[in-house]
Amino acid sequence: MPGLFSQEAAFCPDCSSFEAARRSVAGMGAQASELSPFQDEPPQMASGSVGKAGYLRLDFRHDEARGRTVLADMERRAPLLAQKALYWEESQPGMACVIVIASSGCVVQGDRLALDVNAGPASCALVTTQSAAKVHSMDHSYAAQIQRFCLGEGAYLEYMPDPLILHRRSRYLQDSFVTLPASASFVYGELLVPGRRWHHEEELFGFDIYSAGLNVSRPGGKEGDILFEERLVLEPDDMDFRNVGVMGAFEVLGSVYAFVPERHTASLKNAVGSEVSGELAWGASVLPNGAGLALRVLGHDVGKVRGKMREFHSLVRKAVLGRPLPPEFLWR
Amino acid sequence: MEAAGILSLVRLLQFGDSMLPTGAFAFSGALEAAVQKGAVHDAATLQQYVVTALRQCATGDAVGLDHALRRLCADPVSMGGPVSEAALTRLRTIDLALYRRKLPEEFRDMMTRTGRKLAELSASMTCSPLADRWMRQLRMGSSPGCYPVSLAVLLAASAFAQRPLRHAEGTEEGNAEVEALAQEGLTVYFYGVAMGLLNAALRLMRVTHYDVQGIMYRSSELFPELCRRTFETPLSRMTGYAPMTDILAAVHSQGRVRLFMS
Repeated sequence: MPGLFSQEAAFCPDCSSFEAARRSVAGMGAQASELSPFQDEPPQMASGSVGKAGYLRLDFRHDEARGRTVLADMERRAPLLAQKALYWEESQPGMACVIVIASSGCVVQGDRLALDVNAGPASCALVTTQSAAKVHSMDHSYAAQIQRFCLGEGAYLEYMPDPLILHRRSRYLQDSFVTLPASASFVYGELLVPGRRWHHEEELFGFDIYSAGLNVSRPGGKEGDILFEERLVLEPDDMDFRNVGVMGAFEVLGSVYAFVPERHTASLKNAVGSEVSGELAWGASVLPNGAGLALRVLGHDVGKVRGKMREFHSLVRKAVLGRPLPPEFLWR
Repeated sequence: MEAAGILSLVRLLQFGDSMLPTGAFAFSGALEAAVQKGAVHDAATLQQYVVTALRQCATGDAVGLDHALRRLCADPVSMGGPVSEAALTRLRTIDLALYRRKLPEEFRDMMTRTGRKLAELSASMTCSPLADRWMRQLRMGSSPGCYPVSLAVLLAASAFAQRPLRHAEGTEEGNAEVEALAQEGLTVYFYGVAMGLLNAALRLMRVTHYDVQGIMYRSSELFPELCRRTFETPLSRMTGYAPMTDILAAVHSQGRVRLFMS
């Protein structure tokens, strides 16, 4: 897909419509050099065909008259869908909460998904998922997801999906693009589980490849507007995760990125602290160019890693919105 | 060996030496926290830590060094010619790309402090117009000054200036020549990364000089493989995966008693 993706400069893909997002996610996969061994088409349904090209666009807007944020517009294509905004956060009654539902139940080879979230000026929203995303075994092609988050002045957005579980022989590519002004805040949490632990002796770290890119920029679209970039490429055949500098003895990785105004970074870093113990290791880094903070958590147990991520999430919410997270629902 | 070859070799030795006053001795690349927390506690775990750091570099910082070197070696500037704005713009692009991909703040600090020091040293030592322009660009604050880019400038202005390309760039022979130069530059860089950690280890934990030299000897066997990884990675897809190192860097930045700056 020439012209869509530059080899050198970062770009922000167009995901404003289903067709545009489809082109963007196809271009993203074609340009991913690390996925070159997996570019074959499945002999069953072609990649990105109907039911395999999911799209969800969520547009949040602050409704002054009703004193809350509303889900003003939405576009969806199976297997991704959302219903309506709910207001379940007791400490933030004006916060629109939306659950992204994947109706296919899991991610399979040839899936091409796109999520486009726009949070208008002064809006306040939470986007999450209903359950863990399971990326199934693959023998052809790969699964890809593009995520775009665009925030307006003073907006506050949280995207905290459930864990991503990589089954053995799965291949997953994900690129996330965040555009936000200095006054807005975006909290993004990811929890990566390298397989179903008790399922099969080759299951843990048995996936083929996981490649996740993150690009954070100020509005403007020029190269100088990019604040922070990251790409994690995990290839179990090619690297030793047990190495002391990589994951040590741990298996589960959680990351929470808090792209918040610069005045909050030092106090948040101090508040969450850092530690390396036998059960859990965590620490937050201050991102370049005043982009915010990134918390990394390593552990054996998904629940404990998630607990630490939630603790940081709560600290960020208290710093930016004034109130911490309410207690977690009993059934979560 | 021709005179130019000898001169080039001695320059590479000089810039790869840990005596080079870039201030790198003040940084441990989070090894200090790794030793405090017991993650690194003997020669075997130290070697693992060094290998992780080298692997991170090969698909990260070294890619920037490779791109900067390739741009400069093919430019008349490395033969003492006029400095083109296009070359400086390219160096700045690479510099910014490296800077915004460094997650722990202490690692960014290390990369730019040593990079600036090296730029200063290059300008005063080589009197090359390229090194001088690069240092002025850093002083003006228009570029952060990451170490790999400063190293590329120094190598292009000194070691490689003795060895102009014999074939045009773009031809098969020309590309092979550029690749050979880039490999030498990468070797200097990888050596510096490994030696920096091992020097810090000597001051932080119970390892002998024999242990350290043994680790260096074994780790350097990976260098050809690391060069291959670097050449395969495009600048826009620089990658790294070392969450434990990120966490240790965060632990270090909050430590009360610290011998090192990272």
